[in-house]
Amino acid sequence: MDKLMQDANRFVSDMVEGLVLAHPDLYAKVDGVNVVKRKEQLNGKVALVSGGGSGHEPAHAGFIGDGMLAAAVCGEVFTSPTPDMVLEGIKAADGGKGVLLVVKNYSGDVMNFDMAKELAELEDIEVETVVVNDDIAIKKEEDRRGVAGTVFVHKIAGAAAAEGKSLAEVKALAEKVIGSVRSIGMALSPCYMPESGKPGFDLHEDEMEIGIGIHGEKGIDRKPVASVEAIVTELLDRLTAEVTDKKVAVMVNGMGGTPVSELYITYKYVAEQLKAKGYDIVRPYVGNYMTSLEMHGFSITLLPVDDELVGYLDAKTNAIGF
Amino acid sequence: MKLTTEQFRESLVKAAAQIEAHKDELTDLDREIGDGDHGINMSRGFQAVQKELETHGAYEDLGDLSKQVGMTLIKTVGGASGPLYGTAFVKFAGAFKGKKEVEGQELAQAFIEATEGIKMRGKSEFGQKTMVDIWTPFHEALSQEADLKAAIEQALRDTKERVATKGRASYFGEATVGVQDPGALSSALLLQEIVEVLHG
Repeated sequence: MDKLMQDANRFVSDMVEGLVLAHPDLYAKVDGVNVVKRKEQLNGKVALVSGGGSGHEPAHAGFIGDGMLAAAVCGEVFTSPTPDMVLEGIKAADGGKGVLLVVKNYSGDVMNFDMAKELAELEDIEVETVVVNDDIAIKKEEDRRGVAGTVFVHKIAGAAAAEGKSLAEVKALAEKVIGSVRSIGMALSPCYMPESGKPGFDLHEDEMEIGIGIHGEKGIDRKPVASVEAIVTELLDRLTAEVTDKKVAVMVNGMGGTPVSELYITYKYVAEQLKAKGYDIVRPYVGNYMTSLEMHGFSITLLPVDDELVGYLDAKTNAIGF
Repeated sequence: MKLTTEQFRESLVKAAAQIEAHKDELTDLDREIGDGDHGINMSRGFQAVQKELETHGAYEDLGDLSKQVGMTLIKTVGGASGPLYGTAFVKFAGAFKGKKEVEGQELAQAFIEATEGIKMRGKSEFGQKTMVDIWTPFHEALSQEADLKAAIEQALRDTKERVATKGRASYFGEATVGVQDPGALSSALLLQEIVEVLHG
């Protein structure tokens, strides 16, 4: 698999440099590490820091901006960043009111961010952590992965932080979102690792994977390819079994290799079927938010909302990815 | 059986070569039941360890060596393996502090502490088809002065047949039976080289 890259070893650093060069008024790079921060230092507000493996762009660096993240830590492709890198992100982001780490539920991310939190506390920075686990493809709740629902956590907790809420309040709001947001994804074709050039899984042309994660790992079920309408029905049946509140924000998220046209086609069936099930789509989001390199597929995320959450979803942000 | 600072250094240089030789195998196993980066991450980390070991000059003692290796692994491996292997070596650093050589139950105790560190960091237990399934029988064999090489080989065979109940591999449930856990294999590669120098 060919990629537009100079060298697999520079995949992430070249990407980070390009991102900062493309948005010089908004973003800056922390010296010596693949950490992106706000150009303008936060002051007197709670700072949100997220990150993880790269390959999910625009997540997470693209969600840096007013009312979202203050810094993003960019690990190697699909590999959690190391604790010393996360610590750099925390230090770069801290505006004196504490830092909330938004971590996706993967053992590597959880461990590396935990170690970074321990290091930051030694430097007297107040740090709290929330762990997002919205992927219902995994049955056991404690093992559920963090996927596209993480973007709603960034948006809502980030808007609350920008409003001046305390670290405890921002954390509570993030946990409210995490408690109810649910996602599931599928893929028609895998993604290819820059270094090994190998696909995350081998998939026959006429097969699809249901319940994929965002790291090129296999799905939970492998089936013959079905029509988009039938795929949406299957995914929504699973989601609506868990999300029973009828007033929702919906995200149809591309996995990186899905034409935007197909995302809108998908959304048409998502909207029709949700409506038929009695759901009221208060805020729709369609686009590439949490990708998996060039994977062809999508995920659907449902977030039950009240007026408070809608207010935070609507709050202004200049983050390039939202 | 005695472990000196120089022997430990030598075993880690050899382990780095073994990890490099098995890089693709580790990655392929991880593609089966994980996310396909274990060989790449371990190679990056142990290449850095090798460089550290070859350029650092003499280490004060086993504790100093362990600490430097642990910090290198934490900074370079990433993923879940970085904190897990890093924590193991930080625990060695504590157990070996100020010692130029250790033997007998003192050596076994260091491996017990390293294993406990891995379990604490990964919130895991023996029998979940992880690296703990290699480290636990290894320190037991060390305590009982049993055949270490045989213990590692048996542990690898046992681990392969287990169902993964921890980490990303657990998503695949029964399908993990018969597939080796990549972290178990990389642990075996490391511990085998330590056995070699102990017998040397």
